[in-house]
Amino acid sequence: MKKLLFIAGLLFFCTVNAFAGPSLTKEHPISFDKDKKTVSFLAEVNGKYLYQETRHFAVYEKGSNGEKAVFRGLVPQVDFYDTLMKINAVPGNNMTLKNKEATRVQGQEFIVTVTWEGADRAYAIDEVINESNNAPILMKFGGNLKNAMDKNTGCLLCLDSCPVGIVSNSAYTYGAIEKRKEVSMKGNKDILPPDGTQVIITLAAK
Amino acid sequence: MISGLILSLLLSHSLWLDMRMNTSLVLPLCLFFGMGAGLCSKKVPHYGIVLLMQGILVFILGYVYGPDMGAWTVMPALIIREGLFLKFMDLCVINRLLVLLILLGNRILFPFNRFLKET
Repeated sequence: MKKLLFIAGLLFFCTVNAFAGPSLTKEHPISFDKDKKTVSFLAEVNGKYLYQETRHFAVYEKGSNGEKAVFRGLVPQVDFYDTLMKINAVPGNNMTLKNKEATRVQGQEFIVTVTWEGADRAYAIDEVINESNNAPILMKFGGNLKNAMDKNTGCLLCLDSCPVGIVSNSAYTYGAIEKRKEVSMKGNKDILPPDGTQVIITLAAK
Repeated sequence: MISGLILSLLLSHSLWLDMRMNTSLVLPLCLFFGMGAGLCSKKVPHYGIVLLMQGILVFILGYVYGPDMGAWTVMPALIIREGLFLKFMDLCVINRLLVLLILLGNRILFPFNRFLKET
């Protein structure tokens, strides 16, 4: 009887953990759910951008901009793009290097959340990023696969519209953060865990 | 090391520069030139200059990050880790080494014996 209860408890515990969220590892850093239209990937907090501004939300760690984002992504930009296509997200592909400063990114809009081991809940992107204008961050699937591969910056999600980042914020055109100083963005140090903590970033199609 | 930290902090404060280059690389460059100068010159730097550099570092940390102690404990360690490619090292360890180096450096350079004799 005790053995049965123990096995039942163990099974229950495993089931609960299975529904607690995707379990991602460095070897398998990305997962998707085609029915729920979600993509989740593993990343690490870069503590520098909890105290300094940046225009990058998440960048693949081995890309040239790998150390320039609030989160170091552990998945390459090509894999990230392919996984978004698997959930039938439609890329905008409207941004070019020529029109970038006058164009807002189009494409499938996502709700982006971040969670980590020990977090109370999943936090929305607007909670984990301090946006100086308090405007909502509107993440859209820009696409930009060719530019992403050519430039190899590793950009996954950018905080203003971008012709290279796979997903970017359509609330601002390119240059709003860096060049024209219309807004400043950095990680929210009061919510996010310390530097190096692994997090799971989830994009859910709106 | 201190001058490298000062320069890296100032450079990384420019968003345009910080997004385009690894501003922490100034740190190993300063270390390299400092060591080279130390090997070529027989003179030990005047302690006043060392004290001044440390004061400038504290001033710049205060100016850039204000009273946010989180930034004070994280940013110099991050710059050192990034500049010297010490990705495997925890920030706490780097902070402890930094404090140790500063204390040791001050102990070696400050003319304690002469100061005690004069008093």
